[in-house]
Amino acid sequence: MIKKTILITLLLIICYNFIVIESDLSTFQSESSLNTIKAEKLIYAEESKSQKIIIGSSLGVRLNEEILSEFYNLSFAGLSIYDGLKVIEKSEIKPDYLLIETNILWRTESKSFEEKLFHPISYSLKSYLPFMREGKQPLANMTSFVINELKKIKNISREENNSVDQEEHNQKVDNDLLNKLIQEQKKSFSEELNDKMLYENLEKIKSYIEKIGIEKSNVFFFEMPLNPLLLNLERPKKVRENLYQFFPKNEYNYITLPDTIEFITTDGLHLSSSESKIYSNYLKESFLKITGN
Amino acid sequence: MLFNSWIFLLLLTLTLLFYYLPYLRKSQIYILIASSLIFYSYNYLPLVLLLLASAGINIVTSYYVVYKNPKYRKLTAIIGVVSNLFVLGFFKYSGLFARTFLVESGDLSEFLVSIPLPIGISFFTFQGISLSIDVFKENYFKGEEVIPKSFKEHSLKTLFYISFFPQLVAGPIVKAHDFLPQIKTKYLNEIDFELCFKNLVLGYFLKMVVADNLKDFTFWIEYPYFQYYESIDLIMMLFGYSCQIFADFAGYSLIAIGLAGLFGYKLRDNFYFPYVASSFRDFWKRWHISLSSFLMEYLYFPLGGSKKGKFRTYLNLFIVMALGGLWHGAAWSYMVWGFAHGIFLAIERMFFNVLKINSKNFGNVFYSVFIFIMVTFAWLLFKLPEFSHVILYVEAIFENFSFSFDTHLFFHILLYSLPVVVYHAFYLFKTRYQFSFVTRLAYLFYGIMLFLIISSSGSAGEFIYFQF
Repeated sequence: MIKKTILITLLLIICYNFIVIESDLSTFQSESSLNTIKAEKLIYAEESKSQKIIIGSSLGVRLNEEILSEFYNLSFAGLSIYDGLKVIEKSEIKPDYLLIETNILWRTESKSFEEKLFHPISYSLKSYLPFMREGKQPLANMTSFVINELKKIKNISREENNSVDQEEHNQKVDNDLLNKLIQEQKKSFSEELNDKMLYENLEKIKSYIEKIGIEKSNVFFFEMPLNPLLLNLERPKKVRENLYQFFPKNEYNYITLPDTIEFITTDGLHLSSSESKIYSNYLKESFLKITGN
Repeated sequence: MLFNSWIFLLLLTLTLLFYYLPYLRKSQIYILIASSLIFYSYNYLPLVLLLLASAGINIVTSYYVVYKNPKYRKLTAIIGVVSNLFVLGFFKYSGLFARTFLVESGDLSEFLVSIPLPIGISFFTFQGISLSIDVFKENYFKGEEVIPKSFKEHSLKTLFYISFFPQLVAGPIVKAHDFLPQIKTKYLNEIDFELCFKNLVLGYFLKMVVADNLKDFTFWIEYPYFQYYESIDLIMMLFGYSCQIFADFAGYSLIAIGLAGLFGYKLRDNFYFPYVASSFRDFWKRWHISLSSFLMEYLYFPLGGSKKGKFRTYLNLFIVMALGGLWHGAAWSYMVWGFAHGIFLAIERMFFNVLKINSKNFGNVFYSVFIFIMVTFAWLLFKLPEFSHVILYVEAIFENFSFSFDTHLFFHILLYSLPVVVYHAFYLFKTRYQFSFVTRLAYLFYGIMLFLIISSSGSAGEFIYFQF
């Protein structure tokens, strides 16, 4: 029985790996799987290695893909910019331009994410057996196929019904909830930031930039818009001040927030999709203005 | 160390290799103890001191119960039980005590809240209690039969019993009378590899494919995110969580049983298709069997069980279920969860008594579905330890009513819950119809499961029951 089972498994592996190699299967099923897929596409060179890369947190995840189609968005939900920098460094990629989100610099890197991507055994297996990569999972691809087929049927999903998207639905949720969330964010954004920790993190960014080998003038720091009540609290202020000292404006590039626009967020931190389009356009234009290409 | 990590695979391989080497046969217990201590202390070395201290208490008390002055047998056994409860209470419930009864800013309060919860403490302290009671009561064996005269030999056996890694951190809770008589030299040709293989494949499949994938979707049950979802999504997430918690814990138990089997030790089944239970009583005979049988044997029966009149029976039920609930975690919501199950059991008992229904022969599809619904709703208390959030969640189910739903969430939960449904359906069909062709094709199902473990595992998460 054990031998037969293993034989069946091997057969399935061979067949499915062949399908994966021959086709362009790729789908995600959750935020954590999307993080892994984005990273693996770079690590296993499914994406071009010389490019413009954005790294960030879940705030940066909201950036509009279509508007920023020339950029590879390596922002990870629930993770930090250090995870993105680690992926670039370990994949030995030298991007032409690097855009670094600066909002939540105090978040630390995730050991488990690093282990998932770079554990020697799984790394080697995924190199030779593409079917083991996150985006190629047979169950996820099967479900994605079923969902896409079903979406052709009218009125089955909320996304189809409310083309404006999730926001309209969310607006139905009591405003109290949004205020509560903002209050909670206010509390955490007002907490004092440990100087030593901030210093170490900024040092870490500097060291990653050096290891990656990118020109200082090709590094862009940018801030994602937040609810106006959070923008100038203790933490963001301190981060900005220290950032300018560590990475002088005459050596590095900064894309600061536009003074004239107040952005709307869904929870105080994350932009709604319509707002994200506005900011993505702004980010793109600002980048082009500086680089001229 | 997680069962689904590469480092564990390495530890297991090396342990098996040394364990069955003919010239190391006499050192089998030493090898397993060493592996178990490495397994337990891998993430945090000082933990091993607590495990050794706990084992030490049980080594001394059980030895004294059997071999020292018979006048003090009972007292020594009581000291053994109380010491285990003290260790459990101190490390697990100090924070809850402080948060509930002490002033928030006091030194004592801050100290108690800061005490870390050592992994697996609820399991190995219960095994210690089982040892003290079993050697004292001698219901299953004479103390001398399982406690060697040599203190050194006894220490080794007890340390092995407490620390055996397959069941160390999340059960199944092993009782002394089940385990101690099994300790002897094991031979490779005695091992039922097929059974171990089946348990391991099914266990890893339930954990890595079902539970680990579902957790990404049931995550949104957390407060305040759930408030953004509509009724169908909320119900679907709850259904998914019900399947996830089963797959997570039953998966862990199956892995533990499979691993123990590789070393020649038989652990009892911990789950027996709980979601097709014909009554609440039946549910508790199928869910976390090692805990419910432990509570039954060492708490419910000593309290008088159902033999001291109706009032005492119901009172005993509430006490056992409430304490069983609190065992799961240091939050009052766990006690409320246990208490809720106590109420379900009591009402069902009354109902069955009035209608003169014999619960053993009772079987009704609608009632089974009702039980599943109630059990599933009760899991909310696990996921949302704040009671007010549980109320908000139930309110949201009614208030956010709409016929539309989140397709992505809905179909993924459906997909990953399906194996749990099929698993239970298979049991139902097996008990009702001739199903020999499925048994003949078992290798096909196990082959597919193994393929999905390799290709479709979710992001590795800790086992839910680790926190208990």
